[in-house]
Amino acid sequence: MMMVAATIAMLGLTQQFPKHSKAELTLASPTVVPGAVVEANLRVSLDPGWHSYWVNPGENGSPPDFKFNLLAGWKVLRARYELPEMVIAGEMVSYGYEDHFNVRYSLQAPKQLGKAEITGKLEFLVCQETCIPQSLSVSAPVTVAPNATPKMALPEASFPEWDPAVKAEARVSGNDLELRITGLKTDGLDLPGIQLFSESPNIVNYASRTDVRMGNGALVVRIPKSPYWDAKTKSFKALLVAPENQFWSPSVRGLVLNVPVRS
Amino acid sequence: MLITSLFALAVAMPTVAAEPPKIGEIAPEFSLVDTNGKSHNILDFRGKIVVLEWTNDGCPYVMKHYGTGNMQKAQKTATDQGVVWLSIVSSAKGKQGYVEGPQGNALMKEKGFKSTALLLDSDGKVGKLYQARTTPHMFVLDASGKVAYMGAIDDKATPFPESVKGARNYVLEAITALRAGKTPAIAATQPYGCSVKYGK
Repeated sequence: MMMVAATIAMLGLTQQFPKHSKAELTLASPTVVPGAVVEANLRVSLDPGWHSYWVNPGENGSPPDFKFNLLAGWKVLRARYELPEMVIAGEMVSYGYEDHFNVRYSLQAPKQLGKAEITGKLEFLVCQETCIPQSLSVSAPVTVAPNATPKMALPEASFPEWDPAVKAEARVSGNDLELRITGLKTDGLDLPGIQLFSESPNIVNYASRTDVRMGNGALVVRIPKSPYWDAKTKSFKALLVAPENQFWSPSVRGLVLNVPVRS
Repeated sequence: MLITSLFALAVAMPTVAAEPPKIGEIAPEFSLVDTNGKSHNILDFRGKIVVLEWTNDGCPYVMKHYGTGNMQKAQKTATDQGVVWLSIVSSAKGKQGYVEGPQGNALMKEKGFKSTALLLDSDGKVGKLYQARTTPHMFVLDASGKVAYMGAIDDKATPFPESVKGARNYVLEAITALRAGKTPAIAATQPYGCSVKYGK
């Protein structure tokens, strides 16, 4: 019985699926200085017509799962996913990407560094009408050097930024969540085009329209709450994304919000 | 023959009920034919706990649960306790996961289903009646026919098989609670999986 279960498990684990994506890991510098921070970019290209998912995939789908295979002493300091977009497939509303997406990492090298090899494995899902799991291995060759070398340009992408001047709080109003966000520069922005992406699950109703307006000097975002909303929710994380080609500050289109929920 | 066909068509039609299922309320009534042509009416199972499992054998999330034996194990655990477990295919003809009777029987044999029956809902009426959105999408009805749990099978919303290990199975938790005369601690979760492949 145990052997049957093990065999079944192995079949599940080793199943091969067709590839509809490619991934490339690039570093901002071909050399790594011991103890220094190196920027790495994971770019995932999707076959035409396929889409993939953000860290909160929305109504369906799965978030990407990337694991570095780093030598001892390396640390992943930060990971930032490119700004997602709404992906509507049939009746399902998801947060994700079409064509491609980038993830930017800050890695800290150990102070004792004899050999540098940066590799990793990405597991994620691509969907068209049907969905197919993808498993891609990536590596970026680097050499260890005592001094920094000039940085290379990483692929251009729009990543969210944290602005300490921007404050947000939310309150539940009937079936809606109402966020009041201060510290924003909204001059010239097309308010109805502003989007809120909840990074935390079970916060908003993905299929519902977001209402955005100004009120008493704050940006007020009203959106129906998730049918799975937990009344004990104290806070959540979200992205506030300006309309395409519009920005909160030079080159910043997406802001990270940590939103306390006021009772 | 015509009468038989008309009867089969009639029993396949869900009772008209505009309301989606709600926790604590009587689940929408329906009848569906299984892979052997036998009709099952949800009312026939009053007095028993019933699990409804929307499935699609081409969906990677479903493949995770069947490829690892996780779904069959849950089905066996439940049915050994007298629970009725109805697997339902709402994929339309030509869409991923669509099966007819013989193909459905072959699938059950190949994958080792331990469910009570595999019901065919190719017009999607029962799936839409229950607002089944994903495969898998699970519902647990108590012995009085009320919805006690609806949503995901577990807390690992990924298609990768290794996630099965250590997953919290909400369906089995709900069954355990109901058998103990309690209300499930978690009554509703967001289902995860592939979209149900309904027709137009």
